[in-house]
Amino acid sequence: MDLGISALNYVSSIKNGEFTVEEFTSKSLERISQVDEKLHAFLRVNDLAIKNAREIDTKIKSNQNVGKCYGMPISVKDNMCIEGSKTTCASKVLENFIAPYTSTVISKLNSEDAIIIGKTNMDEFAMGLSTEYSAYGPSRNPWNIDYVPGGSSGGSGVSVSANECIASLGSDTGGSIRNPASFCSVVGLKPTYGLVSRYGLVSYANSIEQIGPMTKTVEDSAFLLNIISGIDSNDNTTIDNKNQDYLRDIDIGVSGKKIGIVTEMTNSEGLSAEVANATNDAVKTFEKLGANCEHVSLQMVPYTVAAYYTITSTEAGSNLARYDNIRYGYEFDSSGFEFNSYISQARSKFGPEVIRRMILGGFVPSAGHAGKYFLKALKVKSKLIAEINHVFEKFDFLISPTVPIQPFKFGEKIQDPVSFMMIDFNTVTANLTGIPAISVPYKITNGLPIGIQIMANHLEEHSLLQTAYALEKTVDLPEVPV
Amino acid sequence: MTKIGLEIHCQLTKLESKLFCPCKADYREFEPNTNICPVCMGIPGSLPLLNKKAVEKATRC
Repeated sequence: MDLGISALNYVSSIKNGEFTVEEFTSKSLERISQVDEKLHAFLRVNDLAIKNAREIDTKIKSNQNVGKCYGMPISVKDNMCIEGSKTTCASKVLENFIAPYTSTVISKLNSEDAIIIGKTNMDEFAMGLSTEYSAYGPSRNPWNIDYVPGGSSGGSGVSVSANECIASLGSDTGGSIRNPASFCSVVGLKPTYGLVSRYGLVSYANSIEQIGPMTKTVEDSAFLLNIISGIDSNDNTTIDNKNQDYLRDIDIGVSGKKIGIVTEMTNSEGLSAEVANATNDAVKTFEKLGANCEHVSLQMVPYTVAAYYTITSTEAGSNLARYDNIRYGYEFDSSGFEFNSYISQARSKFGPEVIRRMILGGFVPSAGHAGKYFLKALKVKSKLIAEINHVFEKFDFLISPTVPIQPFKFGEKIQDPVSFMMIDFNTVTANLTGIPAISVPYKITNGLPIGIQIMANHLEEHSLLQTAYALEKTVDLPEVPV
Repeated sequence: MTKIGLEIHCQLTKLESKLFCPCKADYREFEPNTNICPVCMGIPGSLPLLNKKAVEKATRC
């Protein structure tokens, strides 16, 4: 049994009776117990996984209707709620928070008979890009455990890359799906804002974040998007995609398509030579496949990281104000405390990055400073949206490296917060403008992965996945060494 | 250019559900913490759903 098979191959193997759901699930759990002590992809593993697997096997044997996932093990980032189980956002503040309801995406997976195999590690409240800010210790990159796996959905990236599960759901506010996808050599899709319901996703910056799939193949991302996308009466920002089938004609190719190479993202100061080479190579590959590639400038891009951190800190400051440890949180006796002092003491459990962003988020939109920071950031956002709308009149897709650099060592970058934030340089544009973007594994250089980012216009996931598929088919990568 | 902003308050007493969730708005004769849900409890991950009738009534005032 190959634990590294794709979701689509898993489904056909189950249908052909090559193995049972229980066999595959127990092998996956065995794999987790073997490698996860080292990798730390998971914060918690689902105790009921085997029981769920048996139930689905019974359904299969008795020819009942079985959901599209046929019991495949899927991991979920620990910022999505599941009724009756812990959702910590990798924070000590939510150490004992047991959600009283289930997020829409997880209900959808459950109704298609997926097995939620466990909850994955992340940067606390999704703030970070290396999992180094997890309050429970970082995850490690399966390609080389001395290196970070990216983040904030780092545990999800590791769990898929290290074959601990078939696929994962992450969330992406400024690159948090695509960055670890690139660093761990898996596919990661950030859908159009509103395509996937955020009901049950613990909010960090509501106006720009999205849940999306992290998978072994582009087809698997299309498969999962088919399940999780669409309108939800519990999330007013969701869009009716009319049950679009993202897998249909996925192999149609890119002949005649126009691809813009984003100048600012391919000659930025922080771009490494290895990543630049891989990107040039990907452009040549697209040309060989019959696409027309040319450079295009997005002049707002150099300002996007500043705008992104201003906007997200503002929203985070507002979203995180609710954590008073009164209705939920962690065990902390209130006796002997006056009301306000209890709350401030309870809130001292936030980690350093979350505190930094709450302080920023209190300052940048405040009276007297908003004009200099928050309103300017909103202007950058509107100008960027205008630029994006303009370039998509001419181009079908935009391409760039997903991250300007390859995975780095633990502790190597975290000391300097501003240059750390600049690692988001290529990813935040898709969040600020709401467009879909995907990271496709493209190369392993010096033993570490490099991903290529493709962006498309709003709701163009279907053609985006076709293009990503075309690129993926030209790539032959080595097996993960762990 | 002079900009004038108006902040208008209106009290709506005839709504069946709360402003941001489908819970009953009528609290009379109910024990405390009865008509509640993840949204009005501010449980992490819940999202507000604006009451359509409230908006309609507010814009008619």
